[in-house]
Amino acid sequence: MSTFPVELVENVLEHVYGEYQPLESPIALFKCSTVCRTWKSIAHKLIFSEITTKGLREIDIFKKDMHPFHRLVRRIWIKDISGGDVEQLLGLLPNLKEIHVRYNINTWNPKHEFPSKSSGQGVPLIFRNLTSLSLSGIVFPVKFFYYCTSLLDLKINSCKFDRQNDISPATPPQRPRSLVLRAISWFTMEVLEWMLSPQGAFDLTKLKVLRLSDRTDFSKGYDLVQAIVERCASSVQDLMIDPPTDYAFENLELTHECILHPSELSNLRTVTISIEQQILPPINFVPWMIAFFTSLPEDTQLEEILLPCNFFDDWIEDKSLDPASDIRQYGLEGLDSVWSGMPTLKRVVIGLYHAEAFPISGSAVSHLRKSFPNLSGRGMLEITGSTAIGNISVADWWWIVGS
Amino acid sequence: MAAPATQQIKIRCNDEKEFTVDRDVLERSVLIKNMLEDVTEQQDAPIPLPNVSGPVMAKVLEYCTHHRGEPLPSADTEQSQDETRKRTTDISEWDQKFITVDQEMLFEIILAANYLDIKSLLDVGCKTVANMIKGKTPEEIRKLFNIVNDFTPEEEAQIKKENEWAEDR
Repeated sequence: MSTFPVELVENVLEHVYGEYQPLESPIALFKCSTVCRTWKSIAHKLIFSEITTKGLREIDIFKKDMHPFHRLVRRIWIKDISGGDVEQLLGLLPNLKEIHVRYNINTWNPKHEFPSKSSGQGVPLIFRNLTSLSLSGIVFPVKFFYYCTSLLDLKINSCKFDRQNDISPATPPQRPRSLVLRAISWFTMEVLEWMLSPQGAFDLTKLKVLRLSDRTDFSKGYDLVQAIVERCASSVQDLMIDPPTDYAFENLELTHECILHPSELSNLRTVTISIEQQILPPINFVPWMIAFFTSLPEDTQLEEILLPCNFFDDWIEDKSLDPASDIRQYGLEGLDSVWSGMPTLKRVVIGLYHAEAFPISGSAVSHLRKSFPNLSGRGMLEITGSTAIGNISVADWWWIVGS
Repeated sequence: MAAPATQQIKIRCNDEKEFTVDRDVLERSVLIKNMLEDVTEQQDAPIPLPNVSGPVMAKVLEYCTHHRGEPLPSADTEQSQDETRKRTTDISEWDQKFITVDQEMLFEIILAANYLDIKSLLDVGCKTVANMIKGKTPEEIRKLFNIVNDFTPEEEAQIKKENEWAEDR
């Protein structure tokens, strides 16, 4: 091996490096770095090409004691820390191309700011060289993207604008730029709307929008998709939107919070219904489902409905959140009529769990069978134990079915 | 109608061993593919491959024959891989069996794949070596690959300190 050309050792160590996932330690590479000087140089180039910072102390050490590695860093993951120290560190990394900033958000109300106002140094120059930026759970100034003049790939997840503390002076970049954009959660729709407006930071010629709408507000996502199509119709060379503009879903995960256009879901083949997140006031679960299914186009060839009722902690504390009360009030027979009247439907699977609505018990099974006389009479009803959407294992729960 | 006859190409290894191989099999090697494209007239003289021995070439040809017709990696793929510097190769069951050879042969195959520019074979070989490294101590790695430790004790201590920072992810 010592006679191997350096590029082959590099190739081998790249495979060692490729084994670990982001945010894990490349332990095997550390060992490689202590084999000999040649290996050390290659291993360190890989180890420090991607670093993760989660504490101010580590940032301080890296800034002060590890100068030789600053130029090696190409990608940085910043977890749950903010402030001027982070941005000072970014300023020390001349070859940085990719930043991932992630904050845990518990309240669906991001408060961490990035870049930090308190740094007192404005937006670090390093942002001009960035090609990839991933922001999660943060608040950022509206014109922040004006500074990211080399940006090619942007991912925003649960981020909000800080309209009160904008960066100035700043002007939008003049050159048209292509951007791969992935936006997740309803917060980011505001960001998207701004970016697509005349005041936006991007003169788009190429755009990929992935997961534009989250599952809670399809309606708004749908409208925005239409706006993107109209906005980019004349200039865009490459437009890919998911979900597609025609809502050509074949599989849909549906929660009671979804605001859909059921009349446009003619391609639907499978519907998975989750009632894991009840909100106040409790919905009328059964009427809501009946309204959804009766609104589907006549030519929809729906084949399968999965109803996994995932356990939700709040149900223990507040029984009014359990859809059981709705089911008691409205019964399930209305659903039986609607579902059994769908000519292409072959199978309805109802999962049992520790919720009152669908408890795991033999009496629950017989109750469900009685509540769905048409479906069970035609052999279309399956009752199983379910904890995960799309992961229903009938075999594991045969005894429930058989009881 | 009979299929058109495949062009046969002769190659000669550094131990004078010669092989006559279908052109599309040999063109798994970018080196040979480029050589063949540079030659406009058909030549009977074998292509000399001074850096590969007969037994190693036989193994390489076994690999190329099995993978004939598969698309070669595109320049775009290589570019994006270089950007991330991360390589992940899933070794297929056949490749796994193929590469189960003694260490000397493994290294010879890697060197040949590098010389002949057969990227997929190079990746399979290097991935196999990477798997051999996993779980071994630095001393075991040195022994396995016959590498001399050229660090001073001070340098070793310094590396440990540097690694400690990155280790605490």
